[in-house]
Amino acid sequence: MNGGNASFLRFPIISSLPEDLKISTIESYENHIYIGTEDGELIHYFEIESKEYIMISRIKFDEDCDKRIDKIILLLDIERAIVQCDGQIVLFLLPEFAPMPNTTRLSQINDVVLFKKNRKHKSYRILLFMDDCLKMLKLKATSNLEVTNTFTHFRNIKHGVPHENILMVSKSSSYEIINLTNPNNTIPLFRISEQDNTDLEPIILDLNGEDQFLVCSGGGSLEDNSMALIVNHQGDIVQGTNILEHYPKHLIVNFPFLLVEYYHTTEIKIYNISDKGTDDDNNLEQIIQSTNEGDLKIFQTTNNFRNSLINEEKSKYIVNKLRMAPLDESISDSNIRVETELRYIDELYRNGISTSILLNDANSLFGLLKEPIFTKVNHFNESGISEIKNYLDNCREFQGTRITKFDKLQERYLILLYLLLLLLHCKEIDREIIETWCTYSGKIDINILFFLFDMSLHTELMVFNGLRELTLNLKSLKLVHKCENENFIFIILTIVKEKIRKESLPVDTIKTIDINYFMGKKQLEGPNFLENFSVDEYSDESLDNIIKWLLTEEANHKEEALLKIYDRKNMPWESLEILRRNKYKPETVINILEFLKLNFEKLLRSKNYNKETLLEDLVQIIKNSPENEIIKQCLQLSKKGDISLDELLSKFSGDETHIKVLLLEQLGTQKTKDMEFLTRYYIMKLCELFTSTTLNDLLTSFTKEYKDNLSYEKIKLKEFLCIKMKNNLDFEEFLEYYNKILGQLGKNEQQSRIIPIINIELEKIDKDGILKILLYDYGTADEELRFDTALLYNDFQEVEKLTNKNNFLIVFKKYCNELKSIELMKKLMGANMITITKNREILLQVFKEIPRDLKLIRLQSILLNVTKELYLGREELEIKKLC
Amino acid sequence: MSNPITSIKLVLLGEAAVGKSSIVLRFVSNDFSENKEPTIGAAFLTQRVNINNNTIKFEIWDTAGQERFASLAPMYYRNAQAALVVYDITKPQSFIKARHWVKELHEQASKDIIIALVGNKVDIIENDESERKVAREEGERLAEEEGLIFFETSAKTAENVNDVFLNIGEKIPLKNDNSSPNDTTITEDQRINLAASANATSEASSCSC
Repeated sequence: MNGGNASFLRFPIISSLPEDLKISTIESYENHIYIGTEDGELIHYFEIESKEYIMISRIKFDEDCDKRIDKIILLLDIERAIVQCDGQIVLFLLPEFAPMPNTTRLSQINDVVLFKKNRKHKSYRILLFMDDCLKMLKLKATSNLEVTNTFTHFRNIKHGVPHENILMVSKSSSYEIINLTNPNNTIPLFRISEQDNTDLEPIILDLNGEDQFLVCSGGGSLEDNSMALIVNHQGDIVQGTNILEHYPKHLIVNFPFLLVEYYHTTEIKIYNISDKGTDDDNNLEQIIQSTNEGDLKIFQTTNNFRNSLINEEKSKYIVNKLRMAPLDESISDSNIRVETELRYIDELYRNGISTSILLNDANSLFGLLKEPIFTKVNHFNESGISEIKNYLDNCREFQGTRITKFDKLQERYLILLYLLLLLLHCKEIDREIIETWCTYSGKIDINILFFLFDMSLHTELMVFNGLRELTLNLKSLKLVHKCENENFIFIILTIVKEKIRKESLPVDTIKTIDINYFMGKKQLEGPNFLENFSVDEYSDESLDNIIKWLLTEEANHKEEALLKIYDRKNMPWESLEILRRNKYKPETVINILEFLKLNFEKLLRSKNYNKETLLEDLVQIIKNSPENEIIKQCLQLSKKGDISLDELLSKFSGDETHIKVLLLEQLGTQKTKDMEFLTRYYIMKLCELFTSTTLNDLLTSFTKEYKDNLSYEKIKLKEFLCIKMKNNLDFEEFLEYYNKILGQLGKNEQQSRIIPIINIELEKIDKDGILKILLYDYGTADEELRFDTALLYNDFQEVEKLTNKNNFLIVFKKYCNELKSIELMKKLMGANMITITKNREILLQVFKEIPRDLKLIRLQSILLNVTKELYLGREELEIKKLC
Repeated sequence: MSNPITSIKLVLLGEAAVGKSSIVLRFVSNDFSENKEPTIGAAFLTQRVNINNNTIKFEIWDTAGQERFASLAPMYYRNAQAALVVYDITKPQSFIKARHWVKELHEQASKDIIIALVGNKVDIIENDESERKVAREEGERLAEEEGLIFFETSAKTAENVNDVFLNIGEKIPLKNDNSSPNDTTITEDQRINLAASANATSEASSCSC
């Protein structure tokens, strides 16, 4: 084997194979190794103790047959193995590797391959290549082999490798790509051998399990050069041509290497197939020599074998490169941390390096271990970019589900190196490069990108020790100069926010992104950058830092921004503090009220908020916006907050009587003192308006108008005045208080208490009793006073109600002499006929008072009635006497 | 049409040096070797016998009795249809071990497994009964309690060796030769014509993927 820089190193697995053993195939899983031999033997090795394998059984495939065992396929989910030998296949039991009793032995089989596995139903489908057809069989643990499909179009296939329905097959002397679902879609490819008479064994490998096969095409003999060709499903040769010295006996691909076992040699040659298109020895990476001039054989198994021999110097080199070191030069890398890290990486390395490639040399079986792939790139040249990408895309270490923690570690190392080289060698750092960083954010620390652009970080940044220097040097290049403009840092963060799901990032990284994004916006948008602040652009984790900044720095619209953040973070107390900071201005008080309504429950749950603070807020709101609707809402909140009306009222001083009134009006007066307070307030306001405005004059004019109207049928004075007031805007406020007083008076049970209050005020100003008439409608005064008032204002109907024999003549005289209204006289006499006819004095006075100039004919009807009444009265008297 | 061959996977269990391999050697080759090397892992041998005009092929897994290999035994008895639990009638410790194996088989192996309890080396007591350390009755009682076939054998003299296997063979359900037309199962020495047995001939228009 080559020296220290060898790509593959061997380590022993079994050191004492039987002398006569000629291995043809090997499979392995867990601690079992199954060996098939050239002369039809099946041998089972078992790892009875760690790294100690013993042969526990050795049987013949067929007692009468010495043909080579061609293939062992493990079907682990059903604990079976398929063994192919001499055109027959037999099922074996696993793990004991015993022939399955009473089951299938199929013959005339050219090749058998595993087609599909159904993990859920624990079943497998296999393909059998036969001369007359291709068959698909189903295997389950609980039942026998069952033929599910026979493809008669596909005959004479000697070997095949499937990628689902697409198969690379060898047929006669050439390769073909066939499609199980479409027999007409067969793609004939090149010949296995250039010459017809040369019978070379076809070689087909599954390169990547997805869309590429590797096949070999040879010359005229085994000794001639051959080509290892990588072919896709369309039959195109991809990744160039790999020229091999001879036609191989067996190949194994372990990207970027191709391990080749030639006929009649004692060597295994290893080529680097990532060096495309080379046809000389340059891509020959390593030659493994036999230790005893015997045959060397290589095998690939299902199992991975862990290295039992570690080169300590190499290990130290690898571990030191892969250990994490702080990027911040000011942070000293403590010995304890370094040692812990080294131990951890060393453990990952020792447990993580394994191989599925076995080497049979003489009487030993070795594991053939590839050097950690990341060590292949030990330069920072531009060519490293494509080199690493090739490894990342194709190396088995980084694909599939069986990768170890060490594989993941070296993958991350390579990814970071790839990303650093992209930044180092690009002419311009554009969106595509940043998106590439984002693509790998799940595997590398995106903070390194921020570090390179000198952003402020919220985490202690670590990097692979092997890449630390490169990272620091790259930062010193001032990458911002490679960007389109100075705002590119902000663009970077925008891209990062777009492309990386925040759930996948650590909290500190999210903070770094958000805070730098926030500061980037400030830089980009200037002093008003908070005007359209959208809290949704930031993660919860970052908001505390943004709050901190907003609370300490000066910025326009910062209170709006804070309110949005507090709202998102469910911090009602802090929001309220900001709202209060606006000093309860009338224009903002509504905001506080709305806020209290929305966050009432939350606030009362917070330790800073209680009944007293709520009361204070409500008082301030009411004081600053003493409007009915606002008071109504405040009272609703006070009720929810268990604040009594007295508590609320007590907060308003003497010069805030109007607010008290509004509160009492909203709630209604339950207590006498509140009712008296309200009444007093209303009557005072009424009187104030009455005296301080022209209302008094207007009312005087209204009463004069009424008085001058001598129509007996006219409405009552109070009604008249009310109509007049309602139609005069000057009385709007007056009427408001007037109606409120009437409302108070309407509460019968309280009248005795409030009427004196009203009257005290009325006494002061209501000389003509107009206000009393408006309020009481003659209701409270004594009859004499009411009569006088009604007569004074010519309220005829009221006068009529109050007229009696004592005051009839007063009224009559007024109607006759002052008002000179025959109509009124007639109405009065008609209404008081009995009084007139029964009282001779009154009758005489009536006739006496009738003006001389009045033509009696105008009183004919009423006088006739009087006379008639008198006559009838006398006649009645006579009759009574006679009786 | 000849009756099909029925295969029986049979495993031998028992303490080291009780004569498991010798019993198998006697049965398979009618031979005996006085100083046989201890078995490493497990040995595999086959033997066909005719029982009532039926051919039975015994696929015998002769396991190593040494404690070091004890962990391998489950691998072999797990799918076995029959087991021979062997003890040495001159070594009481081997009978205790046999009890353990019977218990383990009942707990871990297939519930249909046929177990034969075999007390080997009866040739030793032919001349000196005092060499017997495990009474025949003890073996019989264990067999009765556990539902086992019981024989005392001598691999050296071949006494009862074949009888053990024949008795097992008689108890194994024979393979039904009236297999369904869809069943591709075949027995030893038969070679199947897959094209003839396939029930789903396709012109490659589809596959059961």
